[in-house]
Amino acid sequence: MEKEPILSMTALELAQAIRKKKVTSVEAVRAIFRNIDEHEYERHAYVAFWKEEALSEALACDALVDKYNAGNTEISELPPLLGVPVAIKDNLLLSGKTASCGSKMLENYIPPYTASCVEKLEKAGAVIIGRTNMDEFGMGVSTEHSYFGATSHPMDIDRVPGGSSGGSAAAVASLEAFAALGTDTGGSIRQPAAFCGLFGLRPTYGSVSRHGLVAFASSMDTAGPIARSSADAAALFNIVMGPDPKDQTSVSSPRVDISAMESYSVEGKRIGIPKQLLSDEGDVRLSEEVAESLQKAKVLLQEKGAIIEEVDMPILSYAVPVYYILSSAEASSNLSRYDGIRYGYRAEDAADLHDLYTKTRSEGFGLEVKRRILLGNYVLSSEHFEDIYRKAEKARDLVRKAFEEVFSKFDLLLSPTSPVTAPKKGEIADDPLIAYASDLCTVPASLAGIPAVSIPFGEDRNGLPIGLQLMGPRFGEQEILGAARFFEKNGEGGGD
Amino acid sequence: MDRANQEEMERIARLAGLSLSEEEKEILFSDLARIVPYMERITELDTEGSEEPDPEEMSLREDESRDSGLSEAILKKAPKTVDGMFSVPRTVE
Repeated sequence: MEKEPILSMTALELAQAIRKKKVTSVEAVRAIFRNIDEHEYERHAYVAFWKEEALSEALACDALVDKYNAGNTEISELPPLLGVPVAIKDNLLLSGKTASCGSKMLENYIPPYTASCVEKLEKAGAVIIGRTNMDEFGMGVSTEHSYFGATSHPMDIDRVPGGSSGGSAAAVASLEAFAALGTDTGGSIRQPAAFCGLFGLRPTYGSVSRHGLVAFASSMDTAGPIARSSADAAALFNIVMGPDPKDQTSVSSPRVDISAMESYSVEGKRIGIPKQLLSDEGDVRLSEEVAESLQKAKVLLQEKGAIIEEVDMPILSYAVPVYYILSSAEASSNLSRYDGIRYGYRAEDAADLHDLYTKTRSEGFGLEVKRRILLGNYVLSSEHFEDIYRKAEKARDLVRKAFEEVFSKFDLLLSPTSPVTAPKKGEIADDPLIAYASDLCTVPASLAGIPAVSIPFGEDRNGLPIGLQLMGPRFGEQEILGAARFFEKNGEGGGD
Repeated sequence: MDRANQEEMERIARLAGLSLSEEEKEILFSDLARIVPYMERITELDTEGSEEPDPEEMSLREDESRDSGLSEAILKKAPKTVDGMFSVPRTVE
């Protein structure tokens, strides 16, 4: 079947077309579900859809547009994403709908409340059409560690879409949603966005509330958009951000001016490339094609008047171990709540209370989650607490300081998002050290709490997308999204 | 992974409420035998100049009780309840 033209619109283009009555929200939802019905069986981007509800919400959206156009003065303005079908990751709660985190542990968990960021998305008029597949509790880089089975790359079903928000990225790239929310602890928005040729924004830590985002590593968990354009990413960020009394780490942050992104100029901008993010990490090497893409970006920036310099940030050589020590420690603590008593899976035939805990956890968690729980408890045990866990906490402070210093001299930092393009299924999931090492470029921003966006820039010899990452200082979303728009206009393939 | 480390991991698994099958032990312990030394690279790092996070920087809201109106909905999620309470296997004989 030919691709329907409506499906290739960006979320903002569709919102505009719906309010101008060029298309209806019902048409958009129907087109999405026709595509899903035809292809989803081999892609598996979603773990559940809400077709009936989506259609009735779409009808209500179209009715609101009609009322507004008829001059009904009770409606002062239409919400920004009115009638646009979007997807949410399976670890973001929506009241009354199962949220399973890709885990058997929460297979039948139906939350009684909605995540703050999802609530904001609903208020903005978006039609939430389903929840997307993910690595169990966000632990993985390929969406192969899902209890519900792997998701396929949109261009090649033998490859992975990245992870852990692989379902969200695959849905947006396969035209099964116009945009999606993902979550990013160590790179889980940016890396799948890079593999699937999309824009993925990890916002400044705290700018988006974590209330209703199922905890993995609370000091780094962040929700954010996966989108088809830089403007869509900015629009979704503006919708979901904002302080929330239900998350004490949430803060007020500036909105992104989308029209100012359009006139962003790189002339005179000082842009650094951290050399540690171009080096080998364990057995993972920067692919030649990704390196070439970075080189092309560098030349383009220089042609347009930017000043590019390689920067030395030696502490980043330790970023991957520091990230895995801290995130596993926090995960082992966060996941201790799954005991089979208050909610989630409960094992049968337990002899006593301790047996109930153990059976429930041993049957409910997958292998990667168990690996992280063991690692986390190892670094938190009294024998290793000082020399490993506390040392990693200190190292995180040094990472933060290193970025502060660099951003006193540079406007932006540029790097690959991932050292490689989308691998074949099985290639990384089977070796945890390769999976962990492949996070080299994304974990530094996570440790420092700074914003970072992955943008599509070029492709490899198999036609698979290459992603580049732009990092900015805390609350620097305007700067990195402005630069993202620059690349979108001047870029390799993906430009307009 | 040597015997001492394997015993340590088995103890950690027990404390974490995980009972591992022989197959899981084989995979996880051999992975951890590679992962742990990789993480332990950071012991060589000089962390002079780092500061502890300041808890005073966090803002706290007033500790006020209020009714979320969710008690019944929350109890409904529990695998087993009796008379509005969570039910667990017998803990004392």
